[in-house]
Amino acid sequence: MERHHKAAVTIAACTALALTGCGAGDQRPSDLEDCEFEPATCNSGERADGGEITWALDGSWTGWNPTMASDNNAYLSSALTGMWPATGQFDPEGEYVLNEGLFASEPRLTSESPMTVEYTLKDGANWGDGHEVGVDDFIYHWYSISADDDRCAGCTPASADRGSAVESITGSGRTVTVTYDDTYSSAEWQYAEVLSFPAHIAEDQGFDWKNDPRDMADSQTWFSENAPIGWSAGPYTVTDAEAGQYVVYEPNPDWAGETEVTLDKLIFQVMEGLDAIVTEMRQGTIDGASPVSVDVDTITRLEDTDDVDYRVAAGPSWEHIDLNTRGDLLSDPVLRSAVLIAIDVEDIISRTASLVQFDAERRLNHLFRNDSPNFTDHLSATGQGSGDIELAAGILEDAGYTWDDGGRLLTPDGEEVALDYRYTESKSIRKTTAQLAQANLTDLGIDVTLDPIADADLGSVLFGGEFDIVNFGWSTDPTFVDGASQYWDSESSSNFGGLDDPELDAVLDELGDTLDRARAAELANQAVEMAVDDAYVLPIVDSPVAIMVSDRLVNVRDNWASQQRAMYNVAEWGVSES
Amino acid sequence: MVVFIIRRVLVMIPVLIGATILSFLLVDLTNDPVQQQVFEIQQSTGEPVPQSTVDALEANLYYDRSIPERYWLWLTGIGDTNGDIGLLQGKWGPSIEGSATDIGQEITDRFAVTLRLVLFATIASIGLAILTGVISAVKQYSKLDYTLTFIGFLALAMPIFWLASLLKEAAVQTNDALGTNLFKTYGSGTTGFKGNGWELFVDALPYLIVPTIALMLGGYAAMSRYQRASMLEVMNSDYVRLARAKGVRNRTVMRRHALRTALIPVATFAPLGLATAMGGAIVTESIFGWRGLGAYSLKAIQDGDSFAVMAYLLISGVVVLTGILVSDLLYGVLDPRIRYE
Repeated sequence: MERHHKAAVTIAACTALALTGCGAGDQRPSDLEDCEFEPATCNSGERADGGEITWALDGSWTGWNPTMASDNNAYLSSALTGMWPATGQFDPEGEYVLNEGLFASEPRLTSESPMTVEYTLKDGANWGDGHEVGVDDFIYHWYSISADDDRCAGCTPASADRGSAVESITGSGRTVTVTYDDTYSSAEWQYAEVLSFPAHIAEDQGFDWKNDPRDMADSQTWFSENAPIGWSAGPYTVTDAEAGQYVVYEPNPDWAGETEVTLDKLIFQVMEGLDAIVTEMRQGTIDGASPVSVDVDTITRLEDTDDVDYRVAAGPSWEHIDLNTRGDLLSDPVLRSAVLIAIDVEDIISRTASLVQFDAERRLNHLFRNDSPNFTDHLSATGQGSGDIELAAGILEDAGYTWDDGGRLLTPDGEEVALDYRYTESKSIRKTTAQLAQANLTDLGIDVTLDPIADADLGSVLFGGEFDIVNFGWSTDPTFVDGASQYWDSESSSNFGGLDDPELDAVLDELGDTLDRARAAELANQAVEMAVDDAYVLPIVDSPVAIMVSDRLVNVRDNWASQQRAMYNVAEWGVSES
Repeated sequence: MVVFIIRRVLVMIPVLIGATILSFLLVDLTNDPVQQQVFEIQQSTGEPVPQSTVDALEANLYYDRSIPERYWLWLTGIGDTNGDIGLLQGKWGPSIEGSATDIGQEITDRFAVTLRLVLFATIASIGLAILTGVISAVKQYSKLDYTLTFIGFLALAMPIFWLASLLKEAAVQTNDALGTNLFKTYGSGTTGFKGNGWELFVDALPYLIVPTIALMLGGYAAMSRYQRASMLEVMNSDYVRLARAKGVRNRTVMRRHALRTALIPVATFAPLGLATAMGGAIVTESIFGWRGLGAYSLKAIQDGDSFAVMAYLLISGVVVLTGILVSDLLYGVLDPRIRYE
């Protein structure tokens, strides 16, 4: 942590020197320390021709088809990043960058009703096996995520919001047009994933996917069971792979992108556990990793490791405390509000995230990070998360709550306020958060019972509403339209605490209908404000994550905005020329 | 003896069935993997999982059936509509990890990995236990005896995860000091290495050393105490004293008369020790990143992958019961006073 304070001072000093025209010849090479100010260009440098990188993934995957529910996870997405036909990626500044190997230009909205989007494929965009990417590949992907037995019988897509709303896909030359039905619209239409697997490979394997929905489903299973060797739509092509263990990449000579790949070989190797990753970094058996968690011990060990650069920053998931609005006691918005006010978020952060990230700051908006251009602080003014016991007690008193001689809070009906607090026991940040929140609420006279959850039970606890208070994390990226509905829509399966606010639902409906992204951001902030008024979810902090890289690597940096994290720009990765 | 073996095997069957029923109930009642999976997918995609997918996941994993129905299907496969379940038909059931994961294949592959570790560790721990036990007994109450006893108790007292972590760190420090990668500390072989049997063995050797030592030290300590006590008992027996009185050389007395008899307890303990070491391998595999049976079971338990957990528990049960049977049989083979009827 000290190191980053020093880095900030160094950068400030260098900037001052540069402005005064002094020390121009003393410029040090860019490294991870620069990411605080130049998130999308830090650690850049000239690449040597050739070289090999072994990158550790801190989790595994089981099958190769990310569109299928059983295979879908972030690690598979990372493992396939060198060859996957993604539409584009958000860079570390939150800017969307189109896949340069597939598309000639940005997608174009040609009609608002029905929503129609036109994609122009790049000349030469291909699957690395002599076949061009074409309209059939778009249709194949649509069928796979349609959740429609007439197109894919028995398929189990991980999500189908968009796929089930596609009305037709047509092609003409290098232009593909996707038309949606009247029920569907999204202000984030330009980020939609439109490709996954090559249709011709399915045909080569004997699947009549276009005409037989059973064959379509079988082809999906085939892609799940077989590593994607022999074809690629990305800068690299897979030469060897074992599900859940490793992927070996070599450059794809047929890639249509402009960025030149310099590495001879890129290996993604599964290595579970922070301790193992740091140990292997020390030994030089791996060149880098961007694990999903970080602890003090890891940082101490990294500090002592030569030739390794690292950085801790806010990651892609955010911690929050949710209240169950269906609970006997917490159905009262006054009590909910008092509970959220009594919890001291700054204190929680200082004893959790700040231990590993010196600049960790409280998250003040459910949908937009504090550095987002759309960010508005809707929380501070309400007192939620302030730990102000007097304010919380005042609100309760006004509503008729009382305290007995032992200082225990009683409802207006004389019932003692006792709540259970659930958290996943394997995450130390959540355990500490729970203990601190318990202490805060005890000061208010609320008896809180801590009840840890096994990791594998979190889903059933949430879906079953088996909590009064629960602390868990949501993944995030610069998109926000789907997130808002998912968190708060009264019909959403992810609205675990059962918030039912018709006015908020109306705003969410409007948010879902608009195609104007600026208007959508306005509506999203309006929704956040209403959710805050409902005293439902208290954001804590963006969970810190670490990236660690051998200092011989260039153009490798973390990216909170992409599910692939540091792997978002593998085409640019290289070994330093110097 | 054949009748004895058949009788014992027949007794094993109800024991195993009882164990599987208990395990199945515990696994099924303590988790709901489908809901967890749905939650994780929603976390990953940021979108709701289609209801048709949720229904299909439940049907594929037979979570649309009652617990007794699921157990019956798991055991017999009778009434199965997907063609992937029924232990008695050689089908282990579907994994929550999807159709790309065949539990039977996983168990087979990973059993081979674990067996490699456990076999080497058990052989080494038996060898070391016999050596130190005999030396301690022959040099009873000497400085050497006290030293070996101290080391034995130290190894016995140290939890395996601690011992393994210390050894791992020592290996890293040694590599640092020597400027080599002599000891590999993660995985059981080079990523993507292909070769014939001998080449695979040579490749695996640097990965095998440290975990084997960790597992070996965990197992040897108790056995060395058995060996010492057994050796002392035999050395003080009448027939050994008679051999000495007849003027037989001390070395010959030890080797031919004392050691052979004193090995019986350790030899009979060995098969059970092998089974016990498989339990210890769960921790060792986790620390050294081996993709063995232990690591598989741990992940299956964490994920609530019930049929995978059942497969592991069944294999473990069979190994333990077989270990006990072989131990009992070895008593009869090694000790002529014991006869099976």
